[in-house]
Amino acid sequence: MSVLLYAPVSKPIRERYQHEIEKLVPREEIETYRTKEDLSSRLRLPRKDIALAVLIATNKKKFLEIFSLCELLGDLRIILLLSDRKEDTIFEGHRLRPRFLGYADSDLKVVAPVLKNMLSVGIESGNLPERSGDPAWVKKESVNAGADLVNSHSAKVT
Amino acid sequence: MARILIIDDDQTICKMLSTMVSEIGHDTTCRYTLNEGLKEVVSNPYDAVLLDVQMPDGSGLDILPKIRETPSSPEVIILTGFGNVDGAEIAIKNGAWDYIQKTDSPRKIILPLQRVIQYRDALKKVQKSTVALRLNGIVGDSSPIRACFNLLAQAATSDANVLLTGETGTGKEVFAEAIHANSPRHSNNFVVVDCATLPEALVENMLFGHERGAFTGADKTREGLIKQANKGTLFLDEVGELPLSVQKGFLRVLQERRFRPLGSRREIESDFRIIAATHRDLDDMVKHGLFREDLLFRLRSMTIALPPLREHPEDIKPLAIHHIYKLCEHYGMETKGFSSGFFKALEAYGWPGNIRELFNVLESTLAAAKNAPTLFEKHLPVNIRVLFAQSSLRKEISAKGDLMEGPNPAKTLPMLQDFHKAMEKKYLQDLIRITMGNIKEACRISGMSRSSLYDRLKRHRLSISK
Repeated sequence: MSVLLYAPVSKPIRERYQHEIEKLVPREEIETYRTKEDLSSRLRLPRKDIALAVLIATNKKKFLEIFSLCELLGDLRIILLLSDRKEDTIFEGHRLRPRFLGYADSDLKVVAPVLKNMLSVGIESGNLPERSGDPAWVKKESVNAGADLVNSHSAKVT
Repeated sequence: MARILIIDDDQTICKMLSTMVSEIGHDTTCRYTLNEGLKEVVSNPYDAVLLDVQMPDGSGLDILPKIRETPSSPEVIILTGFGNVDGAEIAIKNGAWDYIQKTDSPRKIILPLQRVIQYRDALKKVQKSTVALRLNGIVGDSSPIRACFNLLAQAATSDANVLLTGETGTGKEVFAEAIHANSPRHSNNFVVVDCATLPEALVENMLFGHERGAFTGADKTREGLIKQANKGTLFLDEVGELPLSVQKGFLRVLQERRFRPLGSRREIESDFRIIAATHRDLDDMVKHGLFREDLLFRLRSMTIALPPLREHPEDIKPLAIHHIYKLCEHYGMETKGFSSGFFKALEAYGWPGNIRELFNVLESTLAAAKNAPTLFEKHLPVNIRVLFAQSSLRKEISAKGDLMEGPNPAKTLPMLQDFHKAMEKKYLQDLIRITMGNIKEACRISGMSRSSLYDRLKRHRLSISK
């Protein structure tokens, strides 16, 4: 079972996201795509083994490319990271029905805890296929970006 | 004017009821046997049937389901000379509107009839307004699904909060989208909040948003999902997983449609409609203090309970055809044909993972079939084929057994291995139910390791969500 990463971004940024995902999923189970054509071709192949997709758009053009694949993405569970916070971008983003909608410029650390929960909950509820042999295949390392966020929040909110 | 059919062998009663119904402005027809009554309701549409139980050619209760299945699907009020509790239960369970004793005052018969007529009027209005109901790919024509379509249409025309319940994989999200797509809010956002996968520490932040500088790392203002759902729909998927700590704050937002983003001094408004979904028994969670009763009350102004696939197996074939066509189109393949055995095998399986499992199986099947123009049972996953073979065998044995006279001890005792398997399955089902799907707790009670528990669940095709 794989996680599909669509990251049409520079190598350092892509590697940062890959690194976050690798905290949870073995490297060989991350399918990374850098162009719309490659992603489109992959989505036209059987995808029973894809657990979910992390789609990153760093600018409006890249986002529209993702959006053009809406039909092919179908009911795949999506983590979508948008390029900006404009109303129309958010509106189009929600039309992809992402399970999590964040922003490429700020949510790097949020991806891992969300992904971790999506994988665990998905497997336990039968929404996602199990990896052969070990149902608890999600890596056990602590991913506490969410906790960090709230801890720091509790400390500073007045 | 509504059309009422009276089926009673007592002509005096028929005349009396007919007069009473005519007086309130509706049209009546009388029939004096079950056979005649059934013929009449099959040939002509009716809104309601007043049906006597004790008839010369049988019990009215026996034809009740047949009447409900006729094209006009009229509501049935059972009339009986001698009311009994069991009869009432059978009648209601078979879809009767009410069960009334003839000895009651005529008003007691007319009142429920008037309610039926009001209900049918409302239903007709809804059906008229939803002629072009966009079903967003929802497939099905069975009566449980048609009942859900009716509720979907009602939900779409109102702005009431809707709670969608049903096992995992029954299509709750697709229904939620369809309600939104058919509602006046359809041109605005449909915002999904996946309560099961948002880390608890992030839920409030995601729902309410935050101001820049609200906490370390908040270098940009974030608009919350509630605000993004302004003028649209906020879909709370797996709402049973919403942390108790967040439920209170969310209840206030639901009541006032106002909230304060984290770190903000001012409140903002959002005009959103809520659709929530869960596979859990929220009433039970309320009893155990895991879900707020006041929030549940708010969420379920209207409830749509989606049936598990095993309760509408007649939809398996259209669902399979629709999905295979869709997959073939996606993959640029020639459309496939189907053998009759293929559908029989699908129908013999219990589908614990419901429609989602069916779709996953179809995808594997398509991969297995490769370029074969027709899908056969042999292309299906092994577990489904084994079950199909076993069920065919069982039917054959049972048919042969029925022909045999005298006691058959082999029929009364199962094989020890089968008995053991059945007991293990029952144990696991109870374990899931008692622990409400909490794997950690299930491991503690059963003394099994996590992997062993998963292994057994998998073997019995059980999902912990149940």
